[in-house]
Amino acid sequence: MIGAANRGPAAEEECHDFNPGATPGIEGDVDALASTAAIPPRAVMMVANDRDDAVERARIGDLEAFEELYRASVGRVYGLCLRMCRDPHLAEELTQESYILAWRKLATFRGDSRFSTWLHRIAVNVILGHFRSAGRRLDALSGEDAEPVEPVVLTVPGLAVDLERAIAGLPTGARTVFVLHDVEGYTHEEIAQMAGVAVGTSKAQLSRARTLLRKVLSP
Amino acid sequence: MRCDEVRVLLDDYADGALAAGGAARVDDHLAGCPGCAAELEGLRRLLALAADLPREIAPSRDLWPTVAADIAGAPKVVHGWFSGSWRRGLAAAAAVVVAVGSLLIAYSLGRQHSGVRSALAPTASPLAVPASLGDPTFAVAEAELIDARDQLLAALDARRSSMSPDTQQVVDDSLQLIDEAIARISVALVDDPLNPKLANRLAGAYRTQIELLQRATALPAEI
Repeated sequence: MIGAANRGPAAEEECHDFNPGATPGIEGDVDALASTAAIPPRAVMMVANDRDDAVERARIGDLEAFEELYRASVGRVYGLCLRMCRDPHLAEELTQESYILAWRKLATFRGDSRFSTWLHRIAVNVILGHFRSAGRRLDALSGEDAEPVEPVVLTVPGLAVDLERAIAGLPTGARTVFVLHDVEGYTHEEIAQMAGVAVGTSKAQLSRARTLLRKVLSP
Repeated sequence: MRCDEVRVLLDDYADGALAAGGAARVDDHLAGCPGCAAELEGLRRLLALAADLPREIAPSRDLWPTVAADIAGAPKVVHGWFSGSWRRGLAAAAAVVVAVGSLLIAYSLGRQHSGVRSALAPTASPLAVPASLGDPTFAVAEAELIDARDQLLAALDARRSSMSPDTQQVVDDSLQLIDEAIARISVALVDDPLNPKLANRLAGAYRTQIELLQRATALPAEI
């Protein structure tokens, strides 16, 4: 099996350490940390326990605990926002709105999923809500964007740079589904449910995205 | 299966989403069709690249202060004038200032003689709008605006004994609203000191306050 699409809906809990200065994901990095021989398992468990503790403290209104959670997860949330909306300033705003909404909804977090998964889903909904408010429904985006944005160039070496540029150049619907499915690991059913579209629409947008990307990236 | 039938199934095939029977038929076709096999290989290369993309990207600045300010109910510290929540908040504040200013004028006109109208007419701005906080003249211009405002505040205080309590309340409420707008813009400027729109807004808020004070101090005595 190849590709993020095969990693399953909880795949976002894995984390590729892109930016050395970036903070790691929340629980998602625990497995990765555990595989690092230099860090003893007990220390890994302490990190996980600290984060569980931070979630519990945040749930009862501890702002410092919520800041701990923010520091540990903002790279994941901002990365998602930037890749999906392309505009760094808008990505910052959507990131902030995601955390503000998460704080307000924190009392409803029951721990059925990891906090990082729950937070990620909130961020996706914030982004999709922004698209909807801007009149950008996924099933109505077969053409070019009404408001083209200068593609964001990320500092990733090699072919990934070309792919980032190509993703940024996709129409909003195709880009959204590609990022959610092939980068973040959501299923078509999850995407359809979050975006309020048919599964077939999600599949069609993904196929379109992949075709466009291969065309752009082909030598 | 024909090539066109296989091609439409390749996405699901690569995703492992085809049923066993369908996948087996695609397998059979791929074994004897280099063209479709190459298509699948290209698709898999793309998916492998996508899977390896970094999933963390650090924002270029600390976004926490704005989040914390919103959560705590404090004035937001945001990046840039075009940040939506800030824009909405300040627009609302500006609307209130305008509304209260209009109320002040209407209230005063209703209580005073027609000669008051000239006193309430807008006055010329004492200073030009600076282009940016990064402009070295901005600090001087802001200091002059503050000085002009302080002089008018002193004049207003000297005239309070001739003003009715209602008028004083309306003036004070308006001044407070503008003070709050100035404070918010100042905070935003700390975060984005070179934003010319913020600088212009700050100068505009000072001018609005000065104009309000000029009108208030020019009102005929009520008591």
